[in-house]
Amino acid sequence: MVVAPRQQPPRPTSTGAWSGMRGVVDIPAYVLLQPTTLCNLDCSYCYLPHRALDRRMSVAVAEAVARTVNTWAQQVERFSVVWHGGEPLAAGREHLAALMAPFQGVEHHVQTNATLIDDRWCEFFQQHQMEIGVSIDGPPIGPAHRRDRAGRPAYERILHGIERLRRHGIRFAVICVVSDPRPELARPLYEYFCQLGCYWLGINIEEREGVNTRDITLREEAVRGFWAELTAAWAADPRIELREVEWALHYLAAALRGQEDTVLPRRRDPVPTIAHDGRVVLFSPELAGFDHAPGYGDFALGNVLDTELATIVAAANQPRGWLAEYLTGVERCRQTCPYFGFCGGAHASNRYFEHGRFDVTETEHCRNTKIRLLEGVLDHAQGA
Amino acid sequence: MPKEHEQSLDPAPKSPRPAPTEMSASSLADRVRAAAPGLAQLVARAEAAQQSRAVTEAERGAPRWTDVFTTQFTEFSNRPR
Repeated sequence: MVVAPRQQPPRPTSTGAWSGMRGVVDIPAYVLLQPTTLCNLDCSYCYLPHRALDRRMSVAVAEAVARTVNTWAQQVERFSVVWHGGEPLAAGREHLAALMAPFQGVEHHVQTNATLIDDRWCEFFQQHQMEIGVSIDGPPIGPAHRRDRAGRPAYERILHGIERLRRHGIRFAVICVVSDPRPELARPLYEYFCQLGCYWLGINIEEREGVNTRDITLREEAVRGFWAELTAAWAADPRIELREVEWALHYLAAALRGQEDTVLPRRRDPVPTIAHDGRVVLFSPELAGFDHAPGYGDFALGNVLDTELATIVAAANQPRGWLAEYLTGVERCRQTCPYFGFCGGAHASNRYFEHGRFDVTETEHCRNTKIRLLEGVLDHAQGA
Repeated sequence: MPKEHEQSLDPAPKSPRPAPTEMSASSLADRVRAAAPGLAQLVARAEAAQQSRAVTEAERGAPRWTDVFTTQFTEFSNRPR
């Protein structure tokens, strides 16, 4: 059935009229914590500066975070703690359990490269009712970007970990980094993940971030074609929840109804990320862990060891420093970009790592993951 | 002892000014209208898949990963604000 556009509410027929993403929510949906900076892999596109070092989060940091989080969790229906790295499992079961212990009334999630997963980890996940996200980039075709420090591909070890999950009946989501998106890659990639058995798939086009300074400029036709073909593959068999395509369709469905200005959250989630040493970064987890960014220092807005997390987050509504510069950039996106209602503004980390400042607008990440995505889905729809 | 990664942020040189995208809001709306028939089919496909999954999720009684891990798509959380 074709849904005819309606006249209400008013459409933002000119840029600048978008109403979403003004201000910051008082209680975020989740926090990200870095139990260790260490990763046992050394992926070529990784942005993390200290991934060869095992700097572990102390229980004191976790307890400080939990003081705020447990209060937040009492006030909302659901609150999530996401353990992110480095490789979170490199912290070890005992230490991760000690870090998780102070949290009450929350859901625990972990994003892992799966290479360390064995039967005991699976029992740990089940005991703590953890949700699992695995990082794997698809079948081993082309150069292996996901590899260890000896340069050996990690693929077989990742598969071994996934097999453990499947044996224990533990479902898993997947984050897949695509470094060379092109139309002919899309269908085999999607079919691979259907066979792998993940229930959810997020596609991250490689970004120039952190210590990854590789040139990631891509051809528009290739990226649009990739998204269009991925949409076709998903439409033929939508068994996996495909993050990018389904969110694009969510927005485009609203656009068909003339309600494209209703899709964005009214207020922005600050996405608090707590580094191993207690420092807090808001809005872009990719900014955590840096010490000497020219002109910006370490990006940290406080440390939970001396300031309550709630206080640090609340300060986002009276922004200073890079945060004020970033929010200026968001308003410029609102004024100039017709895709703002889908996107909500370029991410802070992409602005900085691509342009050296936060008050710019369009980034390569915008183009590859937002604009070309939306256009690719439209291309497929128009040709369908 | 592994060598620590060089902490060179090396951002691109500071851009002199923001770079607005070329497409206007009206042309995006035109694109949506032009694709409307095929788009409506895709939207129906997505809604059917999401309804089916919702039944499974309700039976399982567990949180959905999509609701949570939104590092790259912070604006796309399913949760109401």
